[in-house]
Amino acid sequence: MSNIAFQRLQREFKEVITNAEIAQTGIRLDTSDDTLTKLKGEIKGPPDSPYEGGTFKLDIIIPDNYPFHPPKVSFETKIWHPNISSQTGTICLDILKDQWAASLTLRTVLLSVQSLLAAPEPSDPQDAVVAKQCLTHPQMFTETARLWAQVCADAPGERNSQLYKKLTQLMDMGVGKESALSALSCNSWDVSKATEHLFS
Amino acid sequence: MAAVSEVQVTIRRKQANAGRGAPRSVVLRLNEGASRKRPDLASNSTDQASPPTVATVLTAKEQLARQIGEPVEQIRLILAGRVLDDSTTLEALQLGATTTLHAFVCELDDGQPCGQLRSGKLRLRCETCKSDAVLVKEEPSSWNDVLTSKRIRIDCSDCVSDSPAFAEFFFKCVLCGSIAPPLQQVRANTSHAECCVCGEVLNPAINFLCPLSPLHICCLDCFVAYAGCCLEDRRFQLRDGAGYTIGCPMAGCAGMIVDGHHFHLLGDTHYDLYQHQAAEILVLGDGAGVFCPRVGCGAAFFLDAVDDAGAVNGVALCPECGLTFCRECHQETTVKCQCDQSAGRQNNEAVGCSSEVGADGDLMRSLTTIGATCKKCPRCKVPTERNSGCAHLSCRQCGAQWCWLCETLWTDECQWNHWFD
Ligand SMILES: [Zn+2]
Ligand SMILES: [Zn+2]
Ligand SMILES: [Zn+2]
Ligand SMILES: [Zn+2]
Ligand SMILES: [Zn+2]
Ligand SMILES: [Zn+2]
Ligand SMILES: [Zn+2]
Ligand SMILES: [Zn+2]
Repeated sequence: MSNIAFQRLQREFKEVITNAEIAQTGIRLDTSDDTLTKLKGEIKGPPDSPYEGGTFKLDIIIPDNYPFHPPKVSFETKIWHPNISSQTGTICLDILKDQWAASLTLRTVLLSVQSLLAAPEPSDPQDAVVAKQCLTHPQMFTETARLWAQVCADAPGERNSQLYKKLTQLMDMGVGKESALSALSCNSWDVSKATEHLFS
Repeated sequence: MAAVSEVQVTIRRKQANAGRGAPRSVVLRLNEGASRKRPDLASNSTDQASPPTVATVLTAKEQLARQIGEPVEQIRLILAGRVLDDSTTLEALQLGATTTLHAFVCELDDGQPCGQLRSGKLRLRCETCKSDAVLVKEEPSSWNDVLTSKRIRIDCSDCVSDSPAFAEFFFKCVLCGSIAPPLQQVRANTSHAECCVCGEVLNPAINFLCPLSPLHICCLDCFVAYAGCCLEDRRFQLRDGAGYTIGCPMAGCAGMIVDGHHFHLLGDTHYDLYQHQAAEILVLGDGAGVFCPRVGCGAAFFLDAVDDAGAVNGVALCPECGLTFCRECHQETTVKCQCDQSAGRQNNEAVGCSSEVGADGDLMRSLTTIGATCKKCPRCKVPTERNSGCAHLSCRQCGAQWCWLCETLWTDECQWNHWFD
């Protein structure tokens, strides 16, 4: 990593740690090694969204020529969102691609990802299945996204008993929590379709 | 023998227009500065009364430089017709009380430019007859006065015509004396603004002349790293009034480098690359140029200039890597391409159709796979795979920003239609 990148990251860390406003918005940044090339981010799901109160972990990889190239940011926590791949956690966000500028910081990135949770853009999808559901069955989308947040990101609140029952039904068959969620969500919560999807 | 403490020096100025100005004489006080400079080398001095010293030609030149106010790099000391080497000790020269040294102050016009970022001396001459025997009628008060022609009137004593004379300004390096382009965007950081990349307050700094804020500045190290990275990524763009350049690193700011000479700061290798890329972009901008579609080659050239055979069968030949490709569709081929008869296949956007053509053999299958998952950059035609879900792509080959859905260069409309909606 270049000197410029190292110097910049040290500065950015101080910014995130000391800024009181950030403690309020629920953003955290941690190192996973001393080289500062792999970082861990964390954002709180924003209020008035299906993700409210959830804790979402992010993988951040700093490229060699940071800050002239954007950091590679993806969700480690599974999430149901039209602009985030439900499979890989890849995020479609303009400032992580061509709209990146060297003056942007990890703080701006985390805040932007957080506001993407509050305002999905289904017309510019990363995950086509989620986006389709978001546009055609908004109610089901909201319930699905909320349940994912509760199951995968410890979001508080009453779980949708109907959906949760279907989930436990699959899990009782020995299917992992995340695979079960994914199979059901991609098949409009049709248990037999989801089972077929999983076992065929 | 007792060392001389003073020596007479005759100083001449050596310039491009040699012979101007009479020589002058100074008395050089040899021991000053020498003792300060090299106390560690003084142990072999036998004379306890005089300050411990090994005076060398270099220390003498340094002293002379202080006395006459000229840079030491420009001073040459000469004795008996020989330019003296810096490391020679004065003792070895056996200077006597009556010896006269000669010094030249060279303005290194005929030498190599030093190639470094240095202060410049503002000089002027008559724009018409190039004489420097001129008087300005008003002082320049801005960069514009200095860089734009016919802004400052002069009285020129050498001009024969009666038409009004104007000043032509130029800059000379204080170190090497070369005439060099001024870097007007390297400025003193008088407002103590933070570098927008690293956050340090450094001086001088690059000013991007931003309409949003005078505080958008970038320290020199960050500028070099930033511009070098943009060059390698082909993120430079042609901009009105500034040529092939880069913008302010702050998000959404229209500031930019307005004079390509600033990219000299990146060093020779990168500056050559800069000029190479700029030439390529101009080739393309002309409409007759193409990019070689081979990933990693990306040479730009004029079609007509390279290949006569191409006129017959529509095949172009890359002068850099030797790839032959179709002039129309930029598909690799050595024979006349069938693209005009198979327009349908070129527009193949169907996903997952490989099973339908499974029986047609490997070639068809792989073509279809490319057709299904790749589209061509609308500018350089390099096949591009969409590696994430959204429609806005940036070409690794030519730097074009383009739209996966419209298959055209990215427009505000695309931004509107496929991004925010
Ligand atoms: Zn004149
Ligand atoms: Zn110079
Ligand atoms: Zn800097
Ligand atoms: Zn700016
Ligand atoms: Zn080539
Ligand atoms: Zn063709
Ligand atoms: Zn291209
Ligand atoms: Zn478009």
